[in-house]
Amino acid sequence: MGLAGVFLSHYRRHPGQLLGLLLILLCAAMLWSGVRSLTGSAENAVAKSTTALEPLLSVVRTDGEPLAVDDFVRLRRSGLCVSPRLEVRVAANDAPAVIGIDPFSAACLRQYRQSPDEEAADRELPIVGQLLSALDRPLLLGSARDIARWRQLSLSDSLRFELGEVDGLPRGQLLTDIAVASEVASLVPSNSRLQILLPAMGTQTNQLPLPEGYLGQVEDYGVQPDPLVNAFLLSLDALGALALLVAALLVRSVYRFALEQRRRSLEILVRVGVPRSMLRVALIAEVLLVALIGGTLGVWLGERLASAMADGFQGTLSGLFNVDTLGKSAATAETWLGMVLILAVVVSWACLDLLMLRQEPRHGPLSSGAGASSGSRGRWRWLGALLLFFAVSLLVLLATDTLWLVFVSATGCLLGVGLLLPDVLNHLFARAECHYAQGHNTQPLLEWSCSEMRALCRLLSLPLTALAFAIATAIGVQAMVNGFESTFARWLDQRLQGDLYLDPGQPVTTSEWSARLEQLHGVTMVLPMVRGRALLQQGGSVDALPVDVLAIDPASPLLQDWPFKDAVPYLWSELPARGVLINEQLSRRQSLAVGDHIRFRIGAELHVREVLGIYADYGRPDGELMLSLTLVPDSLPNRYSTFVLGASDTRKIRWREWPEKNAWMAGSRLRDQAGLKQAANAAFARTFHMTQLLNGLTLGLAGTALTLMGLVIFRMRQGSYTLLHVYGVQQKQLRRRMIAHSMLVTGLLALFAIPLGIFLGWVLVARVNPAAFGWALPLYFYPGFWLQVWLVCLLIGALVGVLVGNPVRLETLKHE
Amino acid sequence: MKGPGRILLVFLLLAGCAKEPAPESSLGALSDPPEGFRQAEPGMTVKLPEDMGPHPEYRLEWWYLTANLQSAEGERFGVQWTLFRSGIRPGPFQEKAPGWKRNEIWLAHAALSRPQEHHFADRAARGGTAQAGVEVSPFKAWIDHWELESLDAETWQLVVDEGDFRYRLKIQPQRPVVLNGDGGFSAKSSAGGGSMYFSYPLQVTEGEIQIGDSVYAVTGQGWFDREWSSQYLKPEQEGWDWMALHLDDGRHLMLFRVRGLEDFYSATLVAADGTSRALDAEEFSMHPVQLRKSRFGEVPVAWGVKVPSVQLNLLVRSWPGDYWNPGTLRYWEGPVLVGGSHTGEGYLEMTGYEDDGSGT
Repeated sequence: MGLAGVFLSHYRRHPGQLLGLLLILLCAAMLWSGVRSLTGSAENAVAKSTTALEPLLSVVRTDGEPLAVDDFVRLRRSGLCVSPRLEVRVAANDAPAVIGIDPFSAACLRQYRQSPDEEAADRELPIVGQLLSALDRPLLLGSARDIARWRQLSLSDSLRFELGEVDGLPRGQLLTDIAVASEVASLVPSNSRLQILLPAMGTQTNQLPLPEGYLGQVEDYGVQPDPLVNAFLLSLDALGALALLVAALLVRSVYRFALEQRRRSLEILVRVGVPRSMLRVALIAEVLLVALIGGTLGVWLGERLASAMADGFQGTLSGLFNVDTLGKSAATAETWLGMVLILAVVVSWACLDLLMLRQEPRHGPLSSGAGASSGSRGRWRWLGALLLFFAVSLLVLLATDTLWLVFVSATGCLLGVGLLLPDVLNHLFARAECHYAQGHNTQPLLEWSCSEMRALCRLLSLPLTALAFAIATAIGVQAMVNGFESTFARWLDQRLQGDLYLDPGQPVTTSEWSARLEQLHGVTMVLPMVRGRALLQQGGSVDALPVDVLAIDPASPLLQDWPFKDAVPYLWSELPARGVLINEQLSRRQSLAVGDHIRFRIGAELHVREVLGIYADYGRPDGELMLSLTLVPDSLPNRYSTFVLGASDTRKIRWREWPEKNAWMAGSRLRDQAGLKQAANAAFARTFHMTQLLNGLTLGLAGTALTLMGLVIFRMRQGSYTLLHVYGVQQKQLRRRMIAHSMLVTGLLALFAIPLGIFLGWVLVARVNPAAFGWALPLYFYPGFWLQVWLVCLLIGALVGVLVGNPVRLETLKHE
Repeated sequence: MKGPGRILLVFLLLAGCAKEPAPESSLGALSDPPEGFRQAEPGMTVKLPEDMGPHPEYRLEWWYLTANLQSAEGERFGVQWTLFRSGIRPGPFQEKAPGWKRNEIWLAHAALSRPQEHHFADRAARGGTAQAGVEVSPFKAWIDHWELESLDAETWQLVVDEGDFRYRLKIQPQRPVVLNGDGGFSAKSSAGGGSMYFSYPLQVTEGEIQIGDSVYAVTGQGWFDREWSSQYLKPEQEGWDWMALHLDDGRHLMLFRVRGLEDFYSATLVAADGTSRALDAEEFSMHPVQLRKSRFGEVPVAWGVKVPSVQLNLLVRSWPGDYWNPGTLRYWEGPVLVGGSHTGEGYLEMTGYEDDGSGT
């Protein structure tokens, strides 16, 4: 039998060990690569949308007339690099907008320009090229969803559109040649708007002044909150890393068993002349092989996991961060190799003991009681180091606001406490053991039980630690999710005072629509809400910060119950004259409080106003200013109006039919309060379902590993049980006792892990959330869920005990 | 403007071009006879000034200008300006009001050359908007702010402004018009098929060239081509070599060779008094005598040209440098010096030599 045969024979004798090892590696690789695949493609999407963004000017005529083809030609003939954009909104509910661009001049805008680097250009969206090559036929490009929606509409038989699915286009839009868009506008009932765009700065040609009769308005400041998206992605990566950490602990514990089981066969190999160096090489090869198999399968499954979760993830990103361009990304060779390398490191750490055969020839980690005095000194040193590690991590956690440091220090705290937990349990059982061993309390069976559970704590310390992590994560994330849901629901209740919400589906003239809406039957109140963008210029900083603007009518009764985190009295009456309201995100980021003054630029105008109130604004990371409607000019960049309507009785009026019956409302979307709440909740539910899924998987992984390890450990303890049986304890009683041991250990561990979970919950809502999203949440406790987790842990303990079966095996005494 | 460079490629792929022949692999579909477009045929005549304007019933046409210029200090410059029109649907188009249409594409190339130096820019536009176009009377051809227009009955002005280079030239086309081929029908293969093709020798009486911050006053001479067709080169025709030479004795010689299984030759000789005649293939020869390694492959940069009947035995040499106009279907367009039995200057255009798979 060759060396390979000897190595294989170990796993032939212990197939469960190999399976367990592969299962652990596979689950960890799957979780990690799944998360990385999602976050990686999102990072690419963010990078792509960031590079595509540039400050844009939208040209308007000074005489107020709408733009036409002639204007485009006049601007081009004056040497300006302008490009037209025709937006056509067909009069159908939820129809994607048709966006027509001119491929010949599109390169003036960075988002359509192809990189001069050929390789980069190949990776970019070949949209302009596709439109050019389809000039002789009408081609519409869009996401699968929008294409499907367009097909359903079957708008016009006179135009046979060719439809092409393209990744990375914004949702709700179909991109096409401007001539095709123009044809759509002429064939089906629709609203269309022509824009002429040019970069606000850049090429020399655009330094030219606009010809007389034209003005440039800022269309887009060209800034994306990508640090916030990255923070969100970092949070997900951290969860993936936690899965790896748990896996590392589990794999290490499996190998430590292997060490004991294989030591004899390895030493025989040395005695028969196999050089130790060759043995090490063989062990490394084994490690790599196992990592390769586990990693490859895991990466493959991770891709499946990622694609299963991609829709929810896409929804989250577009809901929270306006990142629409999540492309599909297949696992690359780099992802795979990276995964295998990470796993190899994890596994190498686990089998470090195997590699150091010579250094630790006699005392395996399982040789309990050996070297007691030196072991005891070492243990105290180890405990001291863990405590110190925990203390330092906690200090850093309390002191820092940097997100990655929050993650690192929180992981440090978790590691410190997690590694301490089995020792704490061990110590408790030792105390109990002493108690039952002394004088009148003497209860030999209980004393034995305590000793037996101490052995379990020692032998299963790593899987127990992993389980503790999983429990803590489950509890922590659950606290955050539920805390968020309840806070958000309350906030929505207070804030949504109207009965109906109208999104016109296109930029409209606010006053004109308000007047028309007031005429509708059943409408009692109209509150226009205008959104746009402004630039915050704080502290003389050169870099202006783009913020969202929400303009409202402060006199509207629909606003009077809005909750504020902090505000001056009578703020609604003060607002038009001197004030501005800001959201919590902006307040935290800019350290702004009520009474402070802020400077901001809306379009061309600079304003200085006093902060009159700070409001909670959950669900978005962006900073926001709330202003009186009178302060916002028509030229507000990205100006977009929506309307909150008070209605006499939404059940009696046929509000759903309004868009069909009133031509001017074509393409708009109406929702009632319930519908809006449902949509808002759905956006958040997706985010947290994902995190919950990851949690569940981590918990399942830890539980499975503990079960596998428990089976092995209890088999090793069979001698002890059998001896008691020989002394006269009944087999049934011993079996019950064994199950109780197992449940006690996992149950007690869960009890200790629950505070750890609460701590993690606090870290998430009070430290991570403000850093990643800009708003903090109150920390709620959910004892019901703790009980569930605790019961699951008891169940795991019971399962281990039951699976082991009869602990009495007389043949184990043969060796005594 | 660097952006539309890629657009050019797509355009050329889309439209093809007799001056831009490409192998069947990339333009296979384009070698099919275009549906609905009118064909240029022998017997057709040139009618002026109407034929200076666009021919929407044909698939492809261009206004092509090259010039050899010199500053007072003796510095040499070469200028190329071309406006292409490619029909997607055959015209004439009924709707005259400007609008977003998908009927035709306009494209322009501008190049400015010096020894060892070549600047290039391109622009593209859809037809129907008036962003680009050609008017007959007074003559005006434009795309965006580039334009070639007549200032008076004798003079045209060419204006190109492209950031890193610009030029403004006053040009006098030399009458009478030069009808190439058979009274203006210029065959492109012995099997038939060709284009309508006429030219004007040019005098550049006044001009200003700017490269970076340096400005040069220039004068010189050039060649203007007007050509329209609906037919592309045959699949087996892999490229072409074209020259317009201006001899110091006042004569001009335009000649080209279409390379294929059987090379096809054509030439026109313009006498100093302006009279011109087409030369039969047997009357002249042109053959490469020297190759040069360039960015995109080896190109013949020196040519022997012989017209024994008029005692011309010329050696045509490209200026030192690399005169590729970039793009997927890139081509060489650069100034040349003429030596041998006569001296002079001119322009050399070559296609189908690039070695990246799209060429020979």
